[in-house]
Amino acid sequence: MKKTVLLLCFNLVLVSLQAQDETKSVQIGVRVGVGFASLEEKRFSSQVQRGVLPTYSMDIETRKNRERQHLSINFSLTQDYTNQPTLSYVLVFPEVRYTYSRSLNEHWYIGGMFHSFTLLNFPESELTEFVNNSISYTLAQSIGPSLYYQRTIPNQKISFESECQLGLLSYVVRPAFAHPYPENYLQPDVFSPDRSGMMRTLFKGGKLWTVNNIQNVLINTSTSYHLSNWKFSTNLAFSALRLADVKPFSLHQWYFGAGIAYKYMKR
Amino acid sequence: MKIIHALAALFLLSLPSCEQETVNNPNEVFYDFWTFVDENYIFMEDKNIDWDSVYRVYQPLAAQSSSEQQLFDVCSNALLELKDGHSSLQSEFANSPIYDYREGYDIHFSFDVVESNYLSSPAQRNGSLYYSKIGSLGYVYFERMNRYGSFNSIVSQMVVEGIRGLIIDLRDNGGGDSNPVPKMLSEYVNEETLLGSYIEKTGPGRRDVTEPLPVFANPGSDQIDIPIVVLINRSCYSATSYFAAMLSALPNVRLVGQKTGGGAGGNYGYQLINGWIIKVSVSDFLDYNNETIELGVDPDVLIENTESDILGNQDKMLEKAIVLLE
Repeated sequence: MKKTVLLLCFNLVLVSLQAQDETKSVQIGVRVGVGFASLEEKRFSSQVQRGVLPTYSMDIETRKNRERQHLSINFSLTQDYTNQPTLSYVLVFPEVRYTYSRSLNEHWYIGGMFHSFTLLNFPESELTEFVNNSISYTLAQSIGPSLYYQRTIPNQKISFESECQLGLLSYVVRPAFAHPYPENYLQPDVFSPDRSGMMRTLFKGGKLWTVNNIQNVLINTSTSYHLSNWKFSTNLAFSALRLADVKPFSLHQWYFGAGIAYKYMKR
Repeated sequence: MKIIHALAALFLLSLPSCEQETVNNPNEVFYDFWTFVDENYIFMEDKNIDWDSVYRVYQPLAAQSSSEQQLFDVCSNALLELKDGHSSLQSEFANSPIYDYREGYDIHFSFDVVESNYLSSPAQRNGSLYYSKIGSLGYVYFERMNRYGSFNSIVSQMVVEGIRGLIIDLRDNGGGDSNPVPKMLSEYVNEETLLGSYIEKTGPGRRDVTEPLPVFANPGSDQIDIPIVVLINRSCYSATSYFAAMLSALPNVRLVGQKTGGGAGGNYGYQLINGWIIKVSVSDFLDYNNETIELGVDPDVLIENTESDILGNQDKMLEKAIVLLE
């Protein structure tokens, strides 16, 4: 099953790159927005934690002939996510999304995506110390298909875009059962109570999961106004990441953003 | 257009508020509490705890709770069945009573008595360490297991000054951080020495634990080779018990006094469904003989002070240490 999914994903992602000496359009932009997030992290709480995540993003999009590439780097940081008396935590959430797609026709593109998701939590309580789980982390690298739709109204000044991404195969790094340690750190001759050498094992300590264990979806829509080389846009997105771990995790987020981008042609 | 309206309505309904979902149903809260302990507490088998029986006894009481305080008391009492000073429950309105590992022991110690009657000169302080000499012996008192990084340099200086033995006094030290200890003890071994092992919980089952994860002291560049007596009593807990257990693995070290309070568990915090915070032990520490220290570290020489000893400015435990080193 995993091999089939892997092959499918690579076929989608690594569509043949046909070298063609033609003009490429490049679009670079920045975005700010807020995410209304709902986080369930069974490593430190039975409650569903809800809050607002300010998010800062940078986007680079290139188009050449029938191919479209899009790189989006997002970053969220909040000092006190829950604003609760019994539990608060600093939440750090950097994220990278890359899509490569090719047009099926004037409106539709299909391709593959790579999504790198990192969530760091530092739970704290006014009432007590969190000792053995004073840091909780989830790292997920997903690949899967993406579908992109665009439509421009006749005067060419307003465009509408929509995109859907689905992670099919993911490499997930989470702490061991009740610790900040990765699983493969809990081995004789590797483990040290002062956590020395832990980083070396951290990235090797992941598991390859398919959609049975991890569900990773993004649906994004945006409306843009084009003025000369500039593009002003607003977007609305819904993203969901759910891990069926021994201590489950889920993050659902509605996101509103506004951004500006500059577009130029490059040979 | 209707579809857009329907989608917009669906979206607005699904927007999260900025509040937490709290559940105050006593049955749900108790089940969440009981399940967390059941899946995470590491000493169920070592201590022969029948946690299912705890459920049968306390669940009906929880179900009958008519106030948050009552429910909190039921959960707190259930938690005391673990007999673990590292397990606790906190809410905005109360803290659960902590299991008293000192109960049943006569514990009498006063650093003032030591300082006034035995030290050759007033104790100097560095971090949480107090140090001086008793005749030709070095004396270092660890008030807490924090900020003790200068220990080796203090002892090295005493060795240069010609001490013939060292008394490490850990009495009434309730714990702190033992992680620096293995590196600190590198100056007291001339070959790789097993200090003990950690066992960590790896899953929700009773036996979902790691193999023992050994911790060693490796010989350092400087070597200190003097006989050491470590004074312990029942108030030594947690990281202090770890320290005593690690010291007992060294050559030339004898533990004198009372059995320590134990406290081998490293604890794990969790927010229950109603917002209360619970902590339980999820790791164990075994001494170099592969025995858990959760219930305490035994002394090599058992001796206790009485209340009248201390009132009479006498510390028999310290006197025994001096005799053993002279």
